[in-house]
Amino acid sequence: MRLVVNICSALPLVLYVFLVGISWYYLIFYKIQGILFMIVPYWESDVSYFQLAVVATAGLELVHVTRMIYKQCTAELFFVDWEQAKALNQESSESTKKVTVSIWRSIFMSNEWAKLQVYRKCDIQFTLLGVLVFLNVFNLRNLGTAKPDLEDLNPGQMSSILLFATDSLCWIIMIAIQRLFRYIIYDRYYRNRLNQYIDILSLSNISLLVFDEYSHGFYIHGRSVHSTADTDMEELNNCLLREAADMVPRRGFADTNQQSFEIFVPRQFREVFDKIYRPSEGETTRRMVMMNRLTFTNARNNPKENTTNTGLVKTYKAMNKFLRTFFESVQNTN
Amino acid sequence: MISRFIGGQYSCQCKSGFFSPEPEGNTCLPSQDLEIAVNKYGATTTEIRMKGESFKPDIFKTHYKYAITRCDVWGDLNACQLLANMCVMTFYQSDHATCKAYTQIAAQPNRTSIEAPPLDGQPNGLPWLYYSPKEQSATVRSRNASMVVKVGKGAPSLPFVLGVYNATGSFLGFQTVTNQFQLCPNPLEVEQRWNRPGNIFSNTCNVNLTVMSFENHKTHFYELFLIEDTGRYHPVPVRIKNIVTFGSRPNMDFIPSDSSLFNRRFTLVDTYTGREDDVVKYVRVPRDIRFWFRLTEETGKMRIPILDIDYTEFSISELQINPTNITLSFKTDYLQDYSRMANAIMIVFAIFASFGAIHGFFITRSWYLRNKGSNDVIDILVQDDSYSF
Repeated sequence: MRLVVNICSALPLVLYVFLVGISWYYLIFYKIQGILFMIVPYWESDVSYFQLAVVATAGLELVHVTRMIYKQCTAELFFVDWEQAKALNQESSESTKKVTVSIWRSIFMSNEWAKLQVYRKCDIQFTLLGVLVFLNVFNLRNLGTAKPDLEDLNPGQMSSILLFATDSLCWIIMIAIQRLFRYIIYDRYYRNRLNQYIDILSLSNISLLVFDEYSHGFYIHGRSVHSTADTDMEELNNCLLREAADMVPRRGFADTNQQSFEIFVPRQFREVFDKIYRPSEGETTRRMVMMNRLTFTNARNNPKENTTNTGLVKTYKAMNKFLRTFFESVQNTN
Repeated sequence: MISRFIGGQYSCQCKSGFFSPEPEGNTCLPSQDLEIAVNKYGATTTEIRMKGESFKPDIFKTHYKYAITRCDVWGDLNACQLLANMCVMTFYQSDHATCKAYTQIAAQPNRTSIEAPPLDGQPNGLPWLYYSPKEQSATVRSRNASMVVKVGKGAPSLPFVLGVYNATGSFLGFQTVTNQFQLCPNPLEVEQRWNRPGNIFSNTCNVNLTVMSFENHKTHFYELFLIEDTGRYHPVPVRIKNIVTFGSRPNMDFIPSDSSLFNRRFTLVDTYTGREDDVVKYVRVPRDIRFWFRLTEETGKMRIPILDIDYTEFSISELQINPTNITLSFKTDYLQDYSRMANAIMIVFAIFASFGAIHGFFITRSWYLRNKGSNDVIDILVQDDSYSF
């Protein structure tokens, strides 16, 4: 099954390149010919295979996108909170008490992560608008007419091959413009949201571990180089000033500049991870509980869940401790 | 000729003796000549059918004997043109008296057909209706136009001309083809795009036909020519879809084939054939006109185009009660042998599909090695930013 899905995912791109190649061949050579030597196929019988290939490519791409969304939705992730509980000196009782670490930083990070799930390098609205402008305002749609004259943009009999070529040309131009703009200007001089996310993870003293497969995943090292992240504005500013003055170690893993990693973990690690992640109940039940606890009404009406939530809190703490210990040990060995 | 007024009506009679008593085609014919022609080709024509009904058009009643007598006995070219037009009106029906007469005259020894291209079967001194039987279909279809077809901005349009005749056979001259075949109204600039080489053109519309549509319409008969680079007028074969021969319709194939029958002369909107007792009863409209252009293997060369016409007929009495909607279309279509290109595309497709499948196998294998294989050591790699999103 996986093999079939993988082949279905790999085929659309090569088929699209093939179709673009064929259609551009006709667009170029049919439109610029000076002496008539070719006619673009336009009979139903001649273009039926082309149309079938377009439909097949679209169908396979749908499989690919569904697989991608499924993979994205079922990825397992955990935010590792490196923040230490602060000791609070209560003068009245003359005893030392530990203040709990706020969970809000993790919630904010997961919220930002959720936003990044739909972040793309190309803006679909802008792309569609651009394609529309190219096709209907600049009248490039009429390049799809079966007339062997590149400059003749008058309406005429449409050829599905030339229309596909024109359409794909507009899409590729729009995507290339956006990618170039993003690569040369936007990401470099304005903002790179992925890098910003890594920055904010570092400021929040939170690392992110994502498993998109059983033994494969990604790790963003967000351990803060400062003593604390859960603090007030003044101290945060001082921390940033110290960092700007190069008075603290580098942010990356093991005092490097590398913060994002693709990881391959051994089976033993994953088994421990799963043991903590899914202690006793089934995966489905766990997910349902997680979803329900987000609803206040549901929690109020279902007091039985309190015990389950307590279990989840324990699981969170255990997982956080396990991953902190693991990455600390790996960091120390490097 | 003597004119008489009897019973409130005028009638004409010829002088007795030398001429036949009744005038034929508004002309008095010598009775001896008339007798020769009638003995050869028969005295009357059979009826024709339009819109499923049989009738005898006025022109057949009044001009048939005139045409056969003057064409055969006198060798009058104008009369021969008229006879040819009558045959065209029957859709070249080979067993009709008019077509039989034309064929017999064309077969006379002094009318020996010209077999050299492009005049494949044109009889000497007669209008040309039929391609020579041995030159039909395959040969006619495979003949190349001696011209290099240029395309693009500033390239000349394909030069077509029409030889125009009126219904009684008089030659009216040549017309450059512009929009004569297009019955759907469009700006002239649009209509004139049809003969730009390589231009796949379509002008289709749905019109509401009323009796008014045909008032004051003059029916003409046409012959189509393509002017080659040498300046020669190359006849363009015409494939009339409605032709019936020996009970079958040989031109019903969508694309001209080896079994197609090609002719020369045609009409566009015809209000002349359907006249009976001086009243237009039926009209004939070309609902689908299509030019077939076929490219050869040689760059810039094409075969002689073929013109397809499919007629439909209307009864005027029905149109008076109910105006009829009809779809009229004029199209140019191009044919090219794509077999070699298709083979090449199939090979490229197979290569691409194989590449995709191999890539799919590779992804699966990588996944298997990552997740199912033996991986005892932890491996941390630097991630490339472009991996996701």
